[in-house]
Amino acid sequence: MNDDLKARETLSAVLDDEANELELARLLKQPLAPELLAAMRRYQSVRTVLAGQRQVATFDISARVAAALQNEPLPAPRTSAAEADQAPPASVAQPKQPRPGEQVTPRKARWQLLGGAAVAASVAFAVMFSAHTPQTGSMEAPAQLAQVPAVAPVQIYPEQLQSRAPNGQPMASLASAPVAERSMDEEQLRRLNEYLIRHAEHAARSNGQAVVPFARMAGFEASQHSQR
Amino acid sequence: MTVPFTPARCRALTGFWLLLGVLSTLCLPSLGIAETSASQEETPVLQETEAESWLRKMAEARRTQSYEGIFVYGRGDEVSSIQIQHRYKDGSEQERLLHLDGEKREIMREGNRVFCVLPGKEVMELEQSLPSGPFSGLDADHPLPSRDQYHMTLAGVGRVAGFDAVKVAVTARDEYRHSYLLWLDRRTALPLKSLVLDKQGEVLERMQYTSLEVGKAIADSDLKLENWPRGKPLPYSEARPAAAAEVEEEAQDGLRQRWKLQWLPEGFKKSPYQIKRVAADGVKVDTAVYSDGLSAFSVFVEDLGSEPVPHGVSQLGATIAYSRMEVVDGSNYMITVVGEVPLVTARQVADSIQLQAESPRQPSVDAGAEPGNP
Repeated sequence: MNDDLKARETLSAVLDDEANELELARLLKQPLAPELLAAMRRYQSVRTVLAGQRQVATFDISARVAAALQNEPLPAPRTSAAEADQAPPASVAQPKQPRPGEQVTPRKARWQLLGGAAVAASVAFAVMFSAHTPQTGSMEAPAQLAQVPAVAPVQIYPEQLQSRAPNGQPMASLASAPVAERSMDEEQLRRLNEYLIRHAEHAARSNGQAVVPFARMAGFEASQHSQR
Repeated sequence: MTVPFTPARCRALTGFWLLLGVLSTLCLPSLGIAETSASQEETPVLQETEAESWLRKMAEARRTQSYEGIFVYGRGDEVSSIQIQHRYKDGSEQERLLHLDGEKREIMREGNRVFCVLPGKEVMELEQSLPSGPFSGLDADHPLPSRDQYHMTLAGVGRVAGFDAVKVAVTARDEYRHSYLLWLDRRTALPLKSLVLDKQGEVLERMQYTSLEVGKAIADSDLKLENWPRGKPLPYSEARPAAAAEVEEEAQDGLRQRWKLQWLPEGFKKSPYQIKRVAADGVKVDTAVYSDGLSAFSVFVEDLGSEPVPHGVSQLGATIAYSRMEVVDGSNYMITVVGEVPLVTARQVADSIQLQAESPRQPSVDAGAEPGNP
């Protein structure tokens, strides 16, 4: 208990940039207990609020970021020079996103002193689609996902998949998902594109037939459904 | 109003407002001031502010003016040009849009019926939305965004595409919707430029005319589609709008009755329009649309059976798509929220959706012996 308290104090100091080398080294050696991770999330939350930034996402993706950084996948061809050079901002403001259907390039995370949470916040807004398995259990995950053609090579860590909550619902946290940057398969993309097109029509209608929603359709793949 | 009302200030101002209120009802064009003190007998008179008046004129102009031009649409690094012709004749609208960049997507709209044409593909009729209610067909049901949710003000003047413009700022009062900045033609109130801004003031999406002609007579030949054989009529007659009752039956397996939104941001209401599903066979998906008058999002609930459900978020410009999975009775359901709203809204809405299992008994049987399925 005492260790735990000490660890949390050190954590707090590190986040405030007030820890010394020794404390930091000791903290990094610690196994990542869930309580410690939870504490880190809380502290980061508080810091965000104190800094006047609104925390718009409460995704816990620390596990996924750790996994991604451990075994960084091979870089896929970049979609555009601008996108590749763009550094993810540390604030919660969302950076530009790859469009559905585009190849997603895994970003090199900017690894700061346990600033993992700040990095994580920006990574959080990348295209983060992943496939949940049906309720049969996490060990089936690799097999299931292997059937799904992925555009970029991706490592999957079944250990990272958390078990379901007692009521049978998947954990709300996205930490249960495999590595962040992963394209959806063709069927999923088609579905998403159809939703986007349908929503654009709804938006136009709801807004007195404004044209901007129709303009938003630029780039969406046309649905395969023909007029009936 | 954004003026903070401390008690002392309130007392001091009450007298002032009363006097002003009396004067304004007696005299003049509205000064745009809402009565803050109201005795029981008097109902507060909410005068339309100048900004609101411009927005109302804008909605009207967009519908009833005839105009053609080219506007650019941009999000992030991506910019595309779109040509538009809009004609108002004999009480109805016709509009044609042509994407000038990339694929030659064309959109033809007659009133509320919209067709999308892509070269080499069949015509796709976009989601038909059928008005259901007493004011069906009228656009009177597009109210102004509410003062409770947005702070609407004039924000100066400008010049866009050679037109003198009035700037109107529509600022979100909470974190559940985006803010807007509009430049309206001083003469007709047509929107010349618009920006969608997030909470930090970052531009998520922009629209801006680069050339525009208003009031010019638009001939039928101007409205012809590039991708559609000349002379071949669009299949308006073939796809007749279904009656509202038919649409209700199309909620496959009562999917519509089985899910419920437990949370909506303030000011958002379910769209009064029924959505007719124009889709491929066997796909079980239900849709509902919610809007606060300015921002809208759509909810899709789809039964994916045993397929894996993508779970996560994707953002493109001002549009966000958030989806999650729920398993009910061994079937994977995908719950998706798509809209021009912040992530926090999409996520909270999607997370709040409750989905129930299918009722084990046939819906038509059982004359009410059991209590109804909740």
